[in-house]
Amino acid sequence: MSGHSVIHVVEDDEAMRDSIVELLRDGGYIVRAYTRAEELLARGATIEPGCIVSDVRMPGMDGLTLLRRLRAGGSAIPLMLITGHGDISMAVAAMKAGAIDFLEKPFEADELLASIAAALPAASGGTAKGSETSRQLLQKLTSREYEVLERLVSGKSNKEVAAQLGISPRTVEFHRAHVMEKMAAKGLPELVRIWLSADLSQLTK
Amino acid sequence: MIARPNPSRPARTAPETKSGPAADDQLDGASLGLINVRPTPRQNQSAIATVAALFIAALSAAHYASLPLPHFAAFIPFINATILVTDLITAILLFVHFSISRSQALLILAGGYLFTALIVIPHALTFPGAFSPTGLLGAGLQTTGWLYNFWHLGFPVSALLYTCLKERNRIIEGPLWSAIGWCATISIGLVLAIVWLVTVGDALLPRLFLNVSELSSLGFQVTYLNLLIVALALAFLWIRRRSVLDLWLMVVACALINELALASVRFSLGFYFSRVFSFATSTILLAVLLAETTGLYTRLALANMLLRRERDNKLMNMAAVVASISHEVKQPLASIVMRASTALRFLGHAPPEVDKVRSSLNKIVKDGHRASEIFDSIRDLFRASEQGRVKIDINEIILNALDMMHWELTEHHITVRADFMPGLPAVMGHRGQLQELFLNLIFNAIEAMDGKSGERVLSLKTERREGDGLVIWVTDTGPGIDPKRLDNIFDPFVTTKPQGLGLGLAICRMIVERHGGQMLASSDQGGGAVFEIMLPANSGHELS
Repeated sequence: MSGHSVIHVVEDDEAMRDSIVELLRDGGYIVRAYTRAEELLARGATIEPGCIVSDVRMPGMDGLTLLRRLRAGGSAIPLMLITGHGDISMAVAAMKAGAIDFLEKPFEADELLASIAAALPAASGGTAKGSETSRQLLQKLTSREYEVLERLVSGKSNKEVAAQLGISPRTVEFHRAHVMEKMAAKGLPELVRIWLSADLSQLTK
Repeated sequence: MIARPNPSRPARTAPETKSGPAADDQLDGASLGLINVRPTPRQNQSAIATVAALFIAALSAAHYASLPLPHFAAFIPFINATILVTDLITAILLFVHFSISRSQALLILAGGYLFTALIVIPHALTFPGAFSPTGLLGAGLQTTGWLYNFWHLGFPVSALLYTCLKERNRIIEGPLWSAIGWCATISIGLVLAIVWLVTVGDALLPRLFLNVSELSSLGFQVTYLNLLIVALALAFLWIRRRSVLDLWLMVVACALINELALASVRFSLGFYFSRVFSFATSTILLAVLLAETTGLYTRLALANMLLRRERDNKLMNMAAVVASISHEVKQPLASIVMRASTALRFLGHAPPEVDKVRSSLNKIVKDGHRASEIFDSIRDLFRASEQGRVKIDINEIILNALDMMHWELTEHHITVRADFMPGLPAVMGHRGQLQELFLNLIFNAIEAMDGKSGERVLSLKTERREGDGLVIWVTDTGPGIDPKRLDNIFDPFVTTKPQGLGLGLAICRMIVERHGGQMLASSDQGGGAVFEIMLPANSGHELS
C-alpha cells in the first residue's frame, strides 16, 4: 500500500500520540514518534523522507515554528498539522507557510489515513489543476457567502463574522452551510484548503 | 412582574438617605470630593497666605484710600467684563459639580455666582460716564450704587445658604436640567427685578450718592451693612468649615470684606483698589475650582484605569480558563475518537483482530476516566475558593460593583436607580464571587441597553424577605428577554452577543446557587429584563 514511507508523529499528549502511532502502523507505515518538536528537528538531515504529522499547540516549540525551521533548513518534507478548536487562525498561517494540510481534533482514523496518503510525495502532483477547480468552486458563491467564507478561513468565529457583517450568528451558520454544500467540503479545514489552493493573490492580478 | 416603588428616585439619593453611614461614604467617594474632601495642610497654608496677602494689600492702600485719582470711566466696563467671564465660568463649574453630587447647597452657590456674573452687566451699563454721561437703561443717580450693593449681597447670601444647607446633605431629585434651569431662571429673574427696581424706582430709593462721585452717609451705612453680612457669612463658614470648598469660600469672603472696606469716593485710590479686589474675589474660587477639578480628574482617571484593569483581568482569566479547559478535555476525547475508529478498522480485518480491539477498548476506558478526572480537578479548583465565607452586606457589595462600573454606566448614559432596604440581614458568603455576580449583571444590563434609544435605566432594589432571606432585583430598560429563550438563558454558551462566551449568566446562577439561593429571569412590563435573586440570610448575623 504505502511502501516504506516514514511518518513522523510529533504530539505531546501520550494517549493521542500512542493512538495515532497504532493506527499508522496498522496502515502499513513505518512510524517515528516524538514528544517534542525539538526532538525531530535535532535529527536534521537524518530525518527519513515521508511525512510529518504534528500537533500545533505543544509545550516548547509549537507546530508552526517547527514547520518554519524545517523550511528554513531547506527541508521540503510534507507537514500536516493537527489542531484543537480555536487554533484555526494558526493553522491557516501554517498552510500559508507551506503546511500541506491540517486536521481538527477530534478526527477519525480514515480521515488521517486519507490525508496522509494525499500528502505523501508519491501521491502529489496536479496542484495547478486543483487551483483551477478551487477557483471554479469559489465562483459559485454569492457575494455574501464569499464574504462569510473569507472571514471564516481567516480564523474568525461565527459570532465574530456576524458582528463584522452586521448579521446574526444564525444567518452566518446558514451561509456557512450553503458554502460547505457548494464547495462539497466536509469541514472548515477543507474550506481553508480550497481557499488557499485557489491562490486568490494571483486571481486578482 | 416586579413592582418598583419610587420610580422617579434618582440613582444617588436612595442609598444616602436610606442606608447607613457606610453606604454614605461609598457614594461620597464616587462623586467629586470638593465638598467632601478635607483640605490638606498645604491647602490650608496657601489659603492663609492668600488671606494675609489680601489684608496686607488692603491695609497698605487704606491710608491713601481717599486720594483722588484721574477719572477713568472705561475702567468699570473693563473690570466688569472680566468679572462677568470669570464668575460665569465659576458658576458653570459649580453647576457641573452639582450635576455629580446633586447637592442642593452647591446648586445655590452656583446660582449665587450666576447672579453675580449677570448683575455686573447692568452695573457697567448704568455706571455714569462709562457708556453715556448719566448711564444707560434710564439710570438715575442712585441706580449704580444700589446695583453695586445688590451685587455684593450675591456672594454672602448664597454662601450663607450654602453653609446652612450643606450640613443637611440635601439632594436634589429629578432631572438635572430642570434643577439647573430653575436655579438659572431664579438668578436671571432676580437680576431683572433688581434692574427694574433701581431704574424705574430710582427716585423712590434712599439716596446713596450725593452726586456722581460722592457717597452719602446712608451710602456708607449700607456698605457697612453689606460688610456685616459678609462677615456673618465668613463666621458661619468658619464654624461649619469642613471641606476644601469651605476653605476657599472663606478666602473669597475675606477678599470681599477688603473690597467693601476700601469702597470709597468714586475714582479715588480706594475706589480703584476696591475694584481690583472685586476681580480677586471673582478669580479666587475659579482658580481653586480649576486646580481641584484637574487634580480630581487625574486621580479619578488613575483609579478608573486600575478598576478597569482589575475587571479586565477577571474577564481575561475567565477566557483563559475556558480555553485551557477545552484544550485539556479535547485531548482525551480526540484520542478516544482515534482509538475507536482504529478499533473499527481492526474489526474490519479478515479475520477480525479481536485482541487489538480489546486493547483499544481498554485504552478508551482509560481515556474516558481521564476526561472525567479533568472535570473533577476543575471542580476542586473552584471548591478551594469556597473557603473563607464571611458576613456580607449585600447593599455594600452592590454599591461596590456600581462603583467599579461607574464609568461604563456614565459613558453609556445610563441612570442608576438604587433602592436599598436598610438593615438587611447579613449573607454568609464569598465576597469576590458575589461581587462578580453583580458585576456580571451590571455588565449584561449595559450591553442590553446599548444601542437602545430612549431612557436607559438600571434599577437595583434590595428587600428583606419573610423567613430570613433577602431578594435583589436587577432591572434594565433594554429589549428584554425573548420569551422563547427564558428557559435556557442560564445555560452555558447561550448568548446573543457577538463577543460573548455565554458564560456570564451561567456563572451568575452558579454563584447564587452556591450561596444556597435562587435566580430567576423574566421580562419587565416596560420591556426590559428583570433578574431576581433570592439569597438566604442568617438572622443571627444582623449587620449593625
